[in-house]
Amino acid sequence: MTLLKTHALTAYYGDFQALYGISVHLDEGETVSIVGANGAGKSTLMAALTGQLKSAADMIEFDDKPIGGLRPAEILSRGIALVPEGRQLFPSLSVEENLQVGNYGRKTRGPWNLTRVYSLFPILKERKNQASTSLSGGQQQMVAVGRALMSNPRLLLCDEISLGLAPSVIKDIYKAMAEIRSEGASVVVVEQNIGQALAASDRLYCLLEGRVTLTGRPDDLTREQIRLAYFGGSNP
Amino acid sequence: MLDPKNYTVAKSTRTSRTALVFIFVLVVLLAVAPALVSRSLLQDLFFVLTMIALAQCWNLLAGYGGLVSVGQQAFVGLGAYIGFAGSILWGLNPMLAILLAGVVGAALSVPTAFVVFRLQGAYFAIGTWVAAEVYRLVFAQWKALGGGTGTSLPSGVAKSIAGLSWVREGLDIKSSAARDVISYWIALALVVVIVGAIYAFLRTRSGLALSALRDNETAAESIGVDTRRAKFAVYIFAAFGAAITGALIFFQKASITPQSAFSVIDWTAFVLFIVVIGGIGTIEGPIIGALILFVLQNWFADYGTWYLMALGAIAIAVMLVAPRGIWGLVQAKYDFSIFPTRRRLLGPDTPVPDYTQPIREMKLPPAKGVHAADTPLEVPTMFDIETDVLIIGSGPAGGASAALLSSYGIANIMIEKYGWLANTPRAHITNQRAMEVLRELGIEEDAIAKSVPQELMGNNVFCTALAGEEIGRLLTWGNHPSRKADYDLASPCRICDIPQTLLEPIIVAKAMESGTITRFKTEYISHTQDENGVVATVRDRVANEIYRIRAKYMIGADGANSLIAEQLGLPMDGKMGLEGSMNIEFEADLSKYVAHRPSVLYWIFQPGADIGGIGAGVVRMVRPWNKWLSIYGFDIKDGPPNLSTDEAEQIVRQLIGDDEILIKIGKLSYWTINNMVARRYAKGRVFCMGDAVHRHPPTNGLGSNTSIQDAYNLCWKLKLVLEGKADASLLDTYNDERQPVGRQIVTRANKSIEDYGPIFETLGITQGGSADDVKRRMDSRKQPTVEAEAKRKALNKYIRQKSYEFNCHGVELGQRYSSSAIVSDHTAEPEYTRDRELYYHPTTWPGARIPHVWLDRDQQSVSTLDLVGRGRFVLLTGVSGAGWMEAAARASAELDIALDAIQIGPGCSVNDTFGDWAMQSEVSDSGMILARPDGHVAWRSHMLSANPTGDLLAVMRQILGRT
Amino acid sequence: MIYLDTIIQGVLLGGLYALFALGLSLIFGIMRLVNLAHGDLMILGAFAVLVGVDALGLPIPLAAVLAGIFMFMVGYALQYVLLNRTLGRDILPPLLVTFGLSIILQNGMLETFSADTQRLNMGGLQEASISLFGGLAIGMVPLITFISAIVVILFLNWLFYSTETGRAFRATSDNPQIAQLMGIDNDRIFALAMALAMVIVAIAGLYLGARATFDPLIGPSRLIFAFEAVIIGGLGSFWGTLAGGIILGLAQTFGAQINPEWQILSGHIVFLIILVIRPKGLFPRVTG
Repeated sequence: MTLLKTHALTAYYGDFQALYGISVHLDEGETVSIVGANGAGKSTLMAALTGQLKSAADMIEFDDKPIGGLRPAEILSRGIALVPEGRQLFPSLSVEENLQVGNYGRKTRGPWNLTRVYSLFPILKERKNQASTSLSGGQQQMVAVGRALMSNPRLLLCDEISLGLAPSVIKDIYKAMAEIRSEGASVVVVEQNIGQALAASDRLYCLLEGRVTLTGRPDDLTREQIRLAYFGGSNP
Repeated sequence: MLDPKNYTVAKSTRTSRTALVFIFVLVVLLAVAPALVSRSLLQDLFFVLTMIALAQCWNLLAGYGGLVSVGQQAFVGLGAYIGFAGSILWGLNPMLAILLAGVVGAALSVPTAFVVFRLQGAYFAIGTWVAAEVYRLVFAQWKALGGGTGTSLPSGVAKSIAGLSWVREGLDIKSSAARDVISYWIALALVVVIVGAIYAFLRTRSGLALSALRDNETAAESIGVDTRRAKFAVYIFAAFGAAITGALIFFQKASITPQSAFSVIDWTAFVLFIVVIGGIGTIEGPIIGALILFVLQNWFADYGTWYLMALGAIAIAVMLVAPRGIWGLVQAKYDFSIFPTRRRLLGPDTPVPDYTQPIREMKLPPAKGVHAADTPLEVPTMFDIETDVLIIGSGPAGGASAALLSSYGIANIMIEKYGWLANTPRAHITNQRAMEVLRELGIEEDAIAKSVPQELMGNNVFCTALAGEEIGRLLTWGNHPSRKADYDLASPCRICDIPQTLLEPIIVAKAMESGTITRFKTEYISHTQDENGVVATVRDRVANEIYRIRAKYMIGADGANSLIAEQLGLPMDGKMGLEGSMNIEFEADLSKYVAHRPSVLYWIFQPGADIGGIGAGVVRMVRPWNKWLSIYGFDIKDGPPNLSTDEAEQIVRQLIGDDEILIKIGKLSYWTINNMVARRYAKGRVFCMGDAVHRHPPTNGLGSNTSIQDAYNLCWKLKLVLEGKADASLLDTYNDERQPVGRQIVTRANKSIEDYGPIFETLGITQGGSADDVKRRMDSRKQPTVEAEAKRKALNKYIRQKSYEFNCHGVELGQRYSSSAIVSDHTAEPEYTRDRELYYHPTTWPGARIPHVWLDRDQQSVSTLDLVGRGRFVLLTGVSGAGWMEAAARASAELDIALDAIQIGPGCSVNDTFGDWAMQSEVSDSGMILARPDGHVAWRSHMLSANPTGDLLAVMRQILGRT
Repeated sequence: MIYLDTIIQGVLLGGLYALFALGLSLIFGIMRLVNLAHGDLMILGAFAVLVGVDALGLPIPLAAVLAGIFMFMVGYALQYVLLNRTLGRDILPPLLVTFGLSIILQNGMLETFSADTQRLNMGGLQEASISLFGGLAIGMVPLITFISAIVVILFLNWLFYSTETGRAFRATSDNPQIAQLMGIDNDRIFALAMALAMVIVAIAGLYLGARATFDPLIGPSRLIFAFEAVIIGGLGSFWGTLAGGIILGLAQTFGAQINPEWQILSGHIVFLIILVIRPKGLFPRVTG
């Protein structure tokens, strides 16, 4: 059953239009990836989905209910959690406190709690009282993911979780993603790293200049198609 | 694309100009008001004027400088007290005392600023409040002025103010009324001066910078606004204004107490309200606010606390609802300014921008139709960066381009694949023309300091080995007395020898110092271009990330294996890899073999030295006399021999001819002799230069020199096109002018190799056989026989022939261009009276480089080459050429292009003391020579024409490709 | 002996100043807002207690509690309705709005209560003191003030570092945008913080009124003391604010020893010296 659906979603930063009618959907339990170059609109889409950017109410439907334009806290309480681009941990809070703050706005029973998050990322348990910013990039990413999981979201949005990480660390993060999927969460993965996105998702959307230029199953898409959709234009 | 020609910047509007006329009339009326209005109204006007003065100062501080102070009463009170002290205690005339108050206020604001500037934002505000409290408490200790209870101004002192009696008699009023009048006039003058000063300041560039400061300090800093100095200056000015106004106010009141002098309500609260309600950040706002306050004060002051509460509530409401105040609303709705300080960009049909919106950070989508051609899914993961010109390669061509472009103020980025510059000596002969370019860049002295001078370069020895028999010697690089004169006469610079390892850092340092952004370990991968610009995909080899650089033009200076030339598909003539050659760097003290015959090149003729290579074995001096590089050939069909260190040492010993001497072998490198030149140097927006388009052996020492000249030819053209002063077709002349030169030098350099063949043959080395056979044949020329004599003569001739390699002055300096950027003067090209390759023929015929002569300016010697170049056209004329001077000024203004004009002759700024210019200019005293920014003559006129301006304009238009 | 007495007085005075300053420190730490009406709100708190005692005839502790509740609501409403709208990158709006508020409060209190100086009557407590060795005595009220300051700090530290609300405060202070994504409603959190600060301000007002006289116009001078205490102590730590208050108190009492007229001035001067040498304060907590 469809969990998330957008209908010709548009979004503006002041006068500047950033999304020109995005229509995507996600079924429960699916993992969908959204790829595109810098400035293609991926993070804008995330901002719109989480209520940081205003949109018309019926442009975004979650669980068959319109959520466009709701405040971020409200959207979180309905079960959409974001792992923000650049991790964005709270520097004044320790690792454990960062995790704890994750369920401030939504305390639902579910598979994810501190213990479970620590078993997914054991290194965090060792460092739970350290300042979150003293961790390595990969560990910080784990904290950011764990923080989002603490609210037991029905839909997890991951914005560029491989950004700035070494390849081996990226592998670890995506291994964790597999485990998260197995617990039943539906996931949207936003990536510039196409290889990773293709490997981790059931379906893919490609954005360019605020529009969807390609969609399909990874196996059905050719490199050429993706390259065209990613960069746009035609070959010389 | 936006065409800069269609846009102008306007500083005032018609409405503002009309309004200013009204203001002037108003000020005049106000000035005569004392004769017309009642005393109480005058006092009210005084109040309004002084509040405007205070408000303007606070507005400058907070509204423009971003410094929100709630402690300006410190300076008001300070000014008041100093004013009183001055007139009561120190016997100064009150006017002087008031002025002194301002000065003291400004002076004390310095240490105050030092303390309070350590705080930011709201904490700064409270800090100023604390400072005011300190001032109050300190002044309350001043017993001479009444301590905590204050004092009043003795009437005698008050009356002593200048002009009082004149006013009293003139208007027939009492002394106290006259005092009010004088105070009023001072207040009026003060307001006019303060408003005028602030207005004038805000219209200057520093003033605009200040506006930037208020809106976004970090952004302002990033464009170079010195925020600390700006804030400091503003704070001092505001203190000065507050102090003078304070002194004036209390003079008029004639009594003072610490509470009243340092009152927060009177001197900060009211001022705040005036500025906020009237409109912060505008000059008109405080004036309006003061008037409103005056009205409210008159009607409601009786209501005491309710009045103040209402003021507070109004200020809150205005701050939340209309933060720009009343004037801000007017400006937003009617776009009207009496004192316009914004500059407006007027374009063909751009709407008037709305400056009230804050700067937004936006990520813009990538340009259309752009993609990385052959990159597999290594998609760009980093950001794009932008510049005007992207230079690929940091060698002599790339580096010179970067340095020149930066000196012209054109933004450029240079990328280099490796982590540093040349790490092998490579090119070394730096001829006069190249030195001239370095001279223009201001790095000639640096290069000379690292170079080996001409006199140590020129004993070209031909020998069987360094320690062996010397076969012959040629004085080279202008060291022969007859050639030396040629060289000295031809240029203000001297030829010298400086290895590429030492020269590149000098050039690149200059480039970077002047603004070039250099990215090392950044590898060019591919590019695309369209009518808007070039987008290059590059790899940062440190982060292993791919990103893109967008530029309007790209320079491909990526060397003899140029990827860019290949990708562009530039048609090439000739072949690469004709012969194999190797460089062996070594260290050894060879002084005993060379110090008596100093040279940069020693040519070794022995068996094996004629295979491949550049025609003979070479021992080249890198640093005298202990660092060397030997060049040796190999058969290219066999591939590079991959010598071990011992084998390399063997070869070196052979060339030196000494088995005992201490040798330390350095780097080995293998390369090939190439004979290739591109038929076209450019495609679209991409221009190749240097080895990328002319690939030849190092003979003639032309490589880096030609590369630098390529850059010198192209960069000024790029500058003019980027500035919108020339049509893009000017860039085509780069290819038209330099390609023939490239062809010439490639041919010349390869020919020079061939010229060694006859020497080997005459010596008998090439005929093979054992070492003894060879020695026998070589010694045969020492016989007294006829054959031997013939051999000796032949050898002499062939060695002399090498002048075409080592004394080829005409090829070094004598390039003459022909293209649409050279305008014929309808005279014939002057004859070459001597060999055109060996000898430089100076002429001012259009297309040739301006001849060098020494002139005199301000008791200093200056070369003609020093007068021209430097990114602009220069017109040289004689004493009778005033008409050309004027034409130059007109043409420069009309075309909006830098075109300097210099008169040469007695009584002019530049004098031809030796008379050489008169001999060489080839035009009359009323004629002119128009030099391009690269020092080549664009046009000349023998005498003053009938319409100099028209002619000059026509010529410039043709060169620039403008109609 | 005089010195010991001066020191004790200074330290206890520091407790009062710390109470003044804690609310300011709290607000600035969480929402980067400096409330120029802070001092006046403190006086409002003192008047609230006074009203409770005089008009309603309540005993002081009860009046104090009611005043606390009153100020809590005032703070919440003030922040939610007015001050939240001024928050943003520009520093002018909060400054000017709170300045206007200050003027309104002062004049409103003037109208309501007249310019007479007031005093809170705490029964015999104000004359009571504890005798120490060598003839030294510590006033009960200053001592209770100091102890209250410590209690408040302990409470704040507990709240901030051991409760969910405290985490929410700190997270919002770090990154309000991301905090929103965690379900922390910025508007409500800020209002809660201001309300909390106002309770502390009410306590400060109580002790101010008990120790000395007060009238509607002395708010700004108390604000300056609060501000100086915060800056001397350094931002980011509540204990640091106490230290700052103590140093200020000591500066003032020693200054008064030299010359009674110089009490306030010496506080200012010590403040300025510390500002020049250590602009970040003596015990700043460096946050990430």
